[in-house]
Amino acid sequence: METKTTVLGKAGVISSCMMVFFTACGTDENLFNSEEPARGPASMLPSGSERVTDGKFKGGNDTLPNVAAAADGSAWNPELPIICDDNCRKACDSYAFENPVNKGMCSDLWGAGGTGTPIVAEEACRRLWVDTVGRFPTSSELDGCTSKPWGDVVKERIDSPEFVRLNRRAWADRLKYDTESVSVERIYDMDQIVAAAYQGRIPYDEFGTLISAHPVLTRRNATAGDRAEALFWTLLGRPPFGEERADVGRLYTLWDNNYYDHPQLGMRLPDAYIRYNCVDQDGNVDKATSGECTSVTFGYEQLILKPDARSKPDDRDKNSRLMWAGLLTANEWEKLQAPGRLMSQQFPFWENAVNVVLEQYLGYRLATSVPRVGEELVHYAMKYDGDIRAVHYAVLTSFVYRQSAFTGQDAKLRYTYGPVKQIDAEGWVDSMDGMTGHKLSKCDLRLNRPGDFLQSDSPAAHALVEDSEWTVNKDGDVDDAYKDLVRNLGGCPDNSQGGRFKIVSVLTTANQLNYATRLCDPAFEGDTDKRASSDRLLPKGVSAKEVLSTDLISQIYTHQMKQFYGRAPTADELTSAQTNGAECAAGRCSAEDFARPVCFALLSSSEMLFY
Amino acid sequence: MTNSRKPLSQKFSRRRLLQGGVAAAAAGPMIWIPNPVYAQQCTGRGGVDHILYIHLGGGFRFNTAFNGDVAQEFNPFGPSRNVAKGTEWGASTLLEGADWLEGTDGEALKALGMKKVTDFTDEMMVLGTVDHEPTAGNADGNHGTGLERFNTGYVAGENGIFTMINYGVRAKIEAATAEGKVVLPPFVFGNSGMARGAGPYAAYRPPVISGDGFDNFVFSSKPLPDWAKNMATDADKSMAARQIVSNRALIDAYVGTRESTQKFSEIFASDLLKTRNNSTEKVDGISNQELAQLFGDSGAGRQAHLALRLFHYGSPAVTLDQGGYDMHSREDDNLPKAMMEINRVISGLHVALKKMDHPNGGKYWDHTLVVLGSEFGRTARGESGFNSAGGSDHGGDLATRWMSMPFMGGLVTSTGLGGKQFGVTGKNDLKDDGMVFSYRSVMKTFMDLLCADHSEFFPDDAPITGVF
Repeated sequence: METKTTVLGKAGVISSCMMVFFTACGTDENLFNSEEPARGPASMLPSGSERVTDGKFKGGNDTLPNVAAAADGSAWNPELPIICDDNCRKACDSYAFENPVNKGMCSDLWGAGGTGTPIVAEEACRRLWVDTVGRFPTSSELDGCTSKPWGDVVKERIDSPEFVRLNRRAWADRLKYDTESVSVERIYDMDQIVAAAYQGRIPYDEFGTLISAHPVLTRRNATAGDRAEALFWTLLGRPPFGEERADVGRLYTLWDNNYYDHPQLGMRLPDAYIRYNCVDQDGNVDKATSGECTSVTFGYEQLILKPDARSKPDDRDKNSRLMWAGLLTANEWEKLQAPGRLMSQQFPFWENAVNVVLEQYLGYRLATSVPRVGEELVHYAMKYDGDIRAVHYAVLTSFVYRQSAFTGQDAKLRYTYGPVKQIDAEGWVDSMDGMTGHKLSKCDLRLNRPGDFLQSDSPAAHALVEDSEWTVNKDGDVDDAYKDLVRNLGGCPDNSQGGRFKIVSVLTTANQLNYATRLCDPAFEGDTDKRASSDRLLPKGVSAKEVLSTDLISQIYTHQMKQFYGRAPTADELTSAQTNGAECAAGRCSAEDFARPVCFALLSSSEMLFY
Repeated sequence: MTNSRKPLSQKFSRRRLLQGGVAAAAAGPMIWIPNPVYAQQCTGRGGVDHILYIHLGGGFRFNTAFNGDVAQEFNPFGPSRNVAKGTEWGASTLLEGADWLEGTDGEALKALGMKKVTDFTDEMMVLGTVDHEPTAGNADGNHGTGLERFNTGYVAGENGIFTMINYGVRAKIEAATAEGKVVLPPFVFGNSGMARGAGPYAAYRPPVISGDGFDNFVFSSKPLPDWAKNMATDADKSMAARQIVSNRALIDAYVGTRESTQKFSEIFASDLLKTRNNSTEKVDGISNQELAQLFGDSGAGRQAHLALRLFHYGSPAVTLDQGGYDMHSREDDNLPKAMMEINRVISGLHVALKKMDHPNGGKYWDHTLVVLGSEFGRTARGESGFNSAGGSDHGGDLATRWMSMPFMGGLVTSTGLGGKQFGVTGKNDLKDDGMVFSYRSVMKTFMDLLCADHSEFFPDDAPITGVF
């Protein structure tokens, strides 16, 4: 399809379809591609290798100050309000940070005489892997990570498909993809838009603009006010005030929730329609009602579309006309995106954008306690033309993220020690599987109800499931093993009723212990086909039948610590292993007799849950 | 159809009615007052020990089942003419569906006491006009927000009803624990919406189970040697010791659940919870084999079976999902088939609850309330009662609005409410008769009947009084 360029917002430059009257932009009703079923604004995105920036962000390798030399350490008292005086400001200027988080933190940390907690490379790598790959690293990945400059490691991670996949999942959670509420084609479409943002193909304000009029948002919510509220939460991270809800809701009165009988899928899909409000019977703007389609919260904006031959009378209200959103032209999509376009030009939009990233990686909103960090990050995002990857890079390369969480001491200020978070259910299971050589299927959050599609008589619907990330077994059913396990732990959410949750409860713990037992088989009573092979649990060259000795206890324990935790055991841990191993050896244990309980002890430990 | 509603001045104030419940219709507004007898033991009124709440998933067309004596456009399947004597609520022909009573297997089920649902409609009560937001101008027929209301009472509600129940019964559970007893919490089968929890309630999120068994929760039937157990304990101790002091609570919480898991593991591993073990051993007067026979092999049937066994261990409430009723197309063919499954679950519960001996005396029937609900009703326009694709949709009108919720159990029959309907709709327009129930009041009633502390939830909605 022929394309032209449309400019959206100050940073948003996209190519879009040539507007062809009466023809849905980028779509062809007669074609359905089960591998790429997206239908909607994603078809207007640039498809080539063009990026918002080259992805070479600065600030990844800041030299951290030697505080003892640069500032008077005695001034540091986290019990008192931290005031950055002249000396503090001079010190911060002298550090010449390029990383915006480090820069923002200086007046509350180094400049004031604080130090934070020293960085431990293995620990930081392990954290980075969970946050950007979605699982704990293998020992060879850890070795690769610790041997390179941190900025380079983070860049590799951000350029990886796993980074994009994890952020696609995060947005699936936020937008609660559910094919019962929203057409599967729209969900795939939004997924592509998210991927574009995290591949750096569109700036974040354009991303926000696209979300604002996307059926994943409009169709999921019932009323204009609900849609406005969802937009405020999504783009500003807060609910609207009453008058904001009512006013911005006026830009959502054109959306109507209806159904589309999909010719290829043979299913009636919930989909978005346009209801031609604020026009008279001839289709012209009705001055008497046009105010109902006009918002003034972020500047005067009137959103009215005129019906044409694509529309049809609404069978519920003969005076009203409707049009399926699949027939919207590029020009009409652009008009409908007014709420997001207006909102993404506000500073709070960017504040929320950086806050979301800070919370994603730190587990708390650093910019709330140190506002300067938020300001610096927003300016940094602007410097890189709204490329959201820059913000991710800045946070992941910051000292606050990299510092160790393990001091065994107390600390008053949250930002003076590293983040500790609970791993996602998928991450926990994927890590366990990866470490023990087990393999389960996957969930596909774009298609949260694969069974609905398999029940359809249409080959296209079956192909859609086959081409998704679900595994279909030889009986034609979806393999639920992974989903069932992960869902019990709070992941792989069916977004119809509840979203992802992280919880430590008796049942989640029991589930985790059960799974660790299955994989490690510490009591030698499980299915030998499903448990980890002894090769993985023993150091190279050690036979499963070898008689356990003091030396072998250390070797096995150290091997598994490295394998599972990515670190060497502490002296205390080794002593404990020796004490327990000696009891095993006294009962004539073999290497495997000892290795399997060690596997269970380590994999069922809280160190596999919190990172 | 329009959603015409009389001005409040011309009829009962809906808000007042919500506070007064059914009694308000007869005797004017009532303020909920805790029953002083029960108040000595709990903040609610009590009355049942267990609630089984069945979610008819996807938006259920209540008029085709529980409010069926309405015009064809609302119930194209028609009202049943074969209901049990004394039934005043509008049972639909779809409740007659019972293909499981056919053939040799069916004869065996009949011998166990299984009947068509329409044969015992006089033992069920229906609240015909339950509404998410009685003061709202339109129904919430949207999947996302309708479900949020169904699960939590509000759009974006932070706490699911099962979290509230778990929180509400905390004193009971703590008391039992202090006596060395292990009492199971409420359970959520399937989706986690009812198990949301935030702030002080987060710790009371009930377990969410995917599937119909506890096989994945039993981590060992063979005890590990002490040295192996010590190694696991030492790993957690080491993790805790390395943490910042304020973060140790995270590890402590995990270690705490590990210890609790030991307590629960015996229950999870018990044969009683192995609903597919075909055991003939009778517990509470019925075997797993008999229960499996009653409920059949559907997912909902197996979960209903398991729910009864969880009740044995003191669980106050279980919710499960049944069906996929979002039938925008081919509802004309598929709804009768889908109803066969829920009919069997209802009939199986009717038999099992009456047969089972409750640990506290009497039958489970006397202690249990079975309730069916959904996020909204459904709508079709035109005389056929179906949309152009043979299905139904959901919008803002009264057909979507009214959730006609059935209740079954000893509390219903012992109070003479069997067969009654409260909140009647017009046959041709579905207009209410002035009696409308807030859905939050229904949820609060659950808590009240379970003797669960509900003082912190839904301040504007009182439990329904006068009914039970």
